[in-house]
Amino acid sequence: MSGPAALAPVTRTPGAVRVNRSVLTVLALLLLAAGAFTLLVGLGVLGADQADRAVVDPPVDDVARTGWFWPVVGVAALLVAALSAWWLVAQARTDRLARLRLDDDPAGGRTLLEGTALTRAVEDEVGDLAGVTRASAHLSGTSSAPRLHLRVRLDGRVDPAQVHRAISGEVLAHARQALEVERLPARVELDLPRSTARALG
Amino acid sequence: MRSVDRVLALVLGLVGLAGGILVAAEVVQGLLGRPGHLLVPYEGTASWLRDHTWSSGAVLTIGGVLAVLGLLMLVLELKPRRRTLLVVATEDDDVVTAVSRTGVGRALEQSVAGLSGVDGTRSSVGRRTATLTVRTALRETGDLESVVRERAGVALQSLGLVAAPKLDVDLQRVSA
Repeated sequence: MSGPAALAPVTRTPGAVRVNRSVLTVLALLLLAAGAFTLLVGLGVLGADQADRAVVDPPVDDVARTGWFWPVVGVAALLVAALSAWWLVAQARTDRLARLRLDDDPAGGRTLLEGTALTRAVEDEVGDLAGVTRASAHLSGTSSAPRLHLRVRLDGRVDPAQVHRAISGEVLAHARQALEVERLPARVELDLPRSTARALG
Repeated sequence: MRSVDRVLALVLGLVGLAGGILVAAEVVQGLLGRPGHLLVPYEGTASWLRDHTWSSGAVLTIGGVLAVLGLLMLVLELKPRRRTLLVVATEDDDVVTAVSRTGVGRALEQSVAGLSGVDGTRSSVGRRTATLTVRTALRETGDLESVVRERAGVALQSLGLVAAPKLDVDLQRVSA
């Protein structure tokens, strides 16, 4: 097997995670630039006379009085509002695949499968395995290339490797059969129970 | 960090949306020639900025706070996400199975929990080293450390990790 030996936990909103990271990095750079500029001017690095000027001095007021200034500020404010709205909407986007198209035959019509129908069946099958207390599943990707994400809580009485073998063997084989696909990439996260040992004080 | 980012996104997104609309409304109010503000009392801020020089203590403090905040946010956002899951070896390339580091620690603790002489356990699992701390009230520990090491080693091996961390056992003697 080739691949990383360690992974970050999976998220149902990978798009939002990426967007948040990018936007917050840009905001951090803007804050840093504004702070550094203020310090450079205030400490006289950009000229001693500049440091003794008011933050908003008459030349700045003159710019604010020009005809184009306030309309530009208004448009910029609306742009900020629109980008903020887009950022908020991005938080709700998940990678969940709600429906799968099994057959797309122009003559015979379409066969659709609700994603939850499959994930519930998988959850039930995994939940019935010895050593499993709870399982939750969801599908991501596209109808033609779905991916299965499975989180399994173990009870600690059965070897995790045994549960892992059962899932990657029979459970995924049944899921592939139900979806009529040859490959169904899956990510399984095993959650081992809290130790029954007494904790150190 | 994902959850902190999520909270920041919601707060800053709402502030940006409300602020942007309010500022645009104030601009329209000004362009229509109506005196005073609509909702944002910006006159006080404007006069404060006219009264303070760039070298004043308050302005320098604000600049310093902004720079530190920006730097802190930048470091946190650019820091690679922690890989808290350890991958289990599998023969099927389509299946990736992983166990959390805390889960690995729990497995190690459970493997020695029932041993005679073990009064408490604690674990800390990194990518390279898994440390199992065992507390015992035994005056003479005998071969307890080797038994603990063997049991925990078997438990770690049975997880079948792609790259199992090195096991480190720390036996701590405490008074009964």
